[in-house]
Amino acid sequence: MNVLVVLFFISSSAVAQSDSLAVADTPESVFTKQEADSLYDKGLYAEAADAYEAIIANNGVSADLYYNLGNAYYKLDEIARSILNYERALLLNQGDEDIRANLALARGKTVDKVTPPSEMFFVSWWRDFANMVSVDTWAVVAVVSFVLLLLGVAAYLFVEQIIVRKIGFYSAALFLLLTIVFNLAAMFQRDSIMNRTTAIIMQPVVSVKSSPNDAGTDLFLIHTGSKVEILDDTMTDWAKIKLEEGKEGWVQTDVMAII
Amino acid sequence: MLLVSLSLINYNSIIVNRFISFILGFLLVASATFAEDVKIIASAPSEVEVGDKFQIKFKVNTTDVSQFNAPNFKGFEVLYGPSTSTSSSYQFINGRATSSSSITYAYTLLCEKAGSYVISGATVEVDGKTIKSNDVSVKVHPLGKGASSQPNNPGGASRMQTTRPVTTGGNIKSSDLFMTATANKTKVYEQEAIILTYKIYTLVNLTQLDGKLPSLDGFQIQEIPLPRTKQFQIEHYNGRNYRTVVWSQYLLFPQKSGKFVIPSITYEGVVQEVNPNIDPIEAFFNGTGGVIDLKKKLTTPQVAINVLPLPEKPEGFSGAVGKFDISSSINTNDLKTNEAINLKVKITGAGNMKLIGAPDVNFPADFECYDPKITDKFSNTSAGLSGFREFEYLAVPRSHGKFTIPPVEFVYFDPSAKSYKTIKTQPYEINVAKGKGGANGAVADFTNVQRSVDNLGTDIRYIKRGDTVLRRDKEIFFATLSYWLCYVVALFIFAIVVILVSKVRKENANVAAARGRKANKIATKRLKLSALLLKQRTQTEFYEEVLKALWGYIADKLNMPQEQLNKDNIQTRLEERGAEQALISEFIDVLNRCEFARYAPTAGNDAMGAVYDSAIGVISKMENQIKARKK
Repeated sequence: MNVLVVLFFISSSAVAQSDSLAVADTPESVFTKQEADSLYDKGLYAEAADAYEAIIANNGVSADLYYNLGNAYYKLDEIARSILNYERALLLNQGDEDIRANLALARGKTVDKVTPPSEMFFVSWWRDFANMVSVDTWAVVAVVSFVLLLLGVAAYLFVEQIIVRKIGFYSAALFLLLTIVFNLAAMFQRDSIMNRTTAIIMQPVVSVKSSPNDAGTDLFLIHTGSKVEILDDTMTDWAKIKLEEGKEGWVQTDVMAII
Repeated sequence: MLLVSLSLINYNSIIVNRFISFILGFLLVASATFAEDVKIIASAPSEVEVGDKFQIKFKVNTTDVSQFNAPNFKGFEVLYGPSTSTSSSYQFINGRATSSSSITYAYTLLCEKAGSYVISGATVEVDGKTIKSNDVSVKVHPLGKGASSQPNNPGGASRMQTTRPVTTGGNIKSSDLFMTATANKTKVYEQEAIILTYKIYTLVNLTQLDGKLPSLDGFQIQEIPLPRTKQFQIEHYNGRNYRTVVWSQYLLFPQKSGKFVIPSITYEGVVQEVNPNIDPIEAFFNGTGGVIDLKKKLTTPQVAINVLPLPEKPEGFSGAVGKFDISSSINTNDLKTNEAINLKVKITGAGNMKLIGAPDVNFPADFECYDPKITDKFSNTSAGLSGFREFEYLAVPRSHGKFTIPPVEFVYFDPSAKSYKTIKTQPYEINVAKGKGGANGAVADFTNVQRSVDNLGTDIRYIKRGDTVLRRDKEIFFATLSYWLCYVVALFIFAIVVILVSKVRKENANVAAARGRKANKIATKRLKLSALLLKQRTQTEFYEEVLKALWGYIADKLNMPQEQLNKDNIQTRLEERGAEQALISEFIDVLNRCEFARYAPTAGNDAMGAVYDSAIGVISKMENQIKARKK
């Protein structure tokens, strides 16, 4: 009887161990990233794309994976899909130059000219700063900064030399500020990751309408590969979108893919 | 029969003429010494009309004719002849005397039947020699209709002459004078040459004509130069014999396809006529003057041109339409870097030469090319502009090696074949040796001409190989429980540290406080008696007691007998034991106050109390300091 009880506890604790961040291979996925990369190298871009998609569907995602998939689609001249995946990669690793470079190239191949909206300079500054590294890098840096903050406080409280106490006090203040800033940056990125409000148009030509039905007036045309912001997605079939230059209208949800 | 009739008809004139010629011949005997080559020339109008009277003349350049034999005027009716006339002239120029004389035999002929005839030459006998004249061709046109109005012809024949200009009396009808406009081709391709000809048909005496083809939309026009003096020809048209002349000719190159109409042009003409209303007496005296100028506007008909579009143009079509050949030449096959190569490409043929663009020459990479120089030489012909256009290309190789200049292609459209043709030149092999600066094998100096790296093409950056940590979508470390846990843990550790440290500090402080209290106790004990005495207010005994207590304490502390201690060595002794100077001074100060007060008592219970407190204090401090050091 005791043995049974002990066995029960052991097994239940083993089950409880499953909550971890890295997910082990499940039997459905037959590809590893290395295999998919080799397919790409051989020039078998369609096969490589399928392999990457399979890994994403079954195993998990990463910035590198999305980036490679974006490359594969680019080589297949499926520009809209490549842009979609580059954007997804970027969400996970904002500081990567390769992703940005390739995204720029892919966007160059879209039909619609992008006129970025004018925004306040500090908004641009903040965004550029917050996108310097990935969200988890910010998280780690924030924790480190917090620890340094505490060290500074300790120095202030316990050390007798005046000079050390001064250093401790000011560095504590600095690190407090940095901790807050880093957390804000991480929150900024997290918001984009969690609340996906942008999408890429997948259909060759889409007519944006003034109201969410087919009878609405056609306001303007947008083409495949263009990035739009979703303003209202409460309806299942239609969504209100906004272009980067500011124009708004309604489109059907199936013409676009959310980043 | 003929001779008889001739002599009968010419009898009168023969006598007169003979008489004149006899006189003159006598005069000219003197000049018979000047010998000349004897010639006889026959002349007659080349074109006449049926029933038209005309004269055929035979001119001999000497009067010394012994015999004249007329030719056989086969097919012609001889109306009159021969009538002879002689002429002589004597000139004295610059001291030289020349004289010439001639006899002309004239016959008036008429032809009843249209056709082309040849009148053989007449013969003369001069100085025993027989000489024959040239043959004369006469074309007899069929009878034309009469002019719209005709003059009075008192003795005129019933047949009307219409080859001579008619008098219209001021009213020139369009059928008397008109112009035609003809194009040699009315259905052409774009750029194919068309010749547009304007021709005058006239029955009247046209002396002047003004007018010009305006610029036409959709056509490029070139005027074909014609001789300035216009020669009229006779053309039978619509039953009448008109005098015709080609007035102007143009080359037209259609620039676009479609149906076009070349509009009518209005020419201003001036017709000269004999005024029929003139007084015959006046005409006798003044000669047959009285010529008037009549103005007449001539309008050319329109010409419809159908321009076909060229069939689908192949890549590299030069725009040339016509027939062409290509040839090329190069100045050298071997040269050094930074020397120039001169390639000449010559296109010869006929067509729209002016619009031929320079063919593309694909010089190898790193050859600096310049715009070609164009040399033209062409003239207007019925096929268009024909001649050649030469393109001279200049190229400078910047690096050494073996290169090939590929053949130069020229694509043109042949309208007669209705297809595009491609012709090309030969390729050229070029050897470029290293130029100056290459002898020492050094790399060329680019200090002044560095070029930015040109993009040949752009491509995406390579994939990221290497392992990657996979996560579920939207799973990030930030804001997870573990993340906040980090903060909590850090804070927790910090808190523990703080607590521990403060505790230790507290304990240290306690120890110090405890020690302080203990010291206080000892001091209080030693000064117990002093306290009592303080209460009793006995000054001398109090101060004595305090002194005693202090010395006794120090002696115990320093472990020395009291006799050995005095105020001098106590300083050094305490210093040895590590007491602070401040404390030592304080101790000595209390001692001094006691001694002073003992030997010079002053009133002041407050002073006693102060001394008591100081003594307590100094002993406590001493306790702490020396004890602490002792450890």
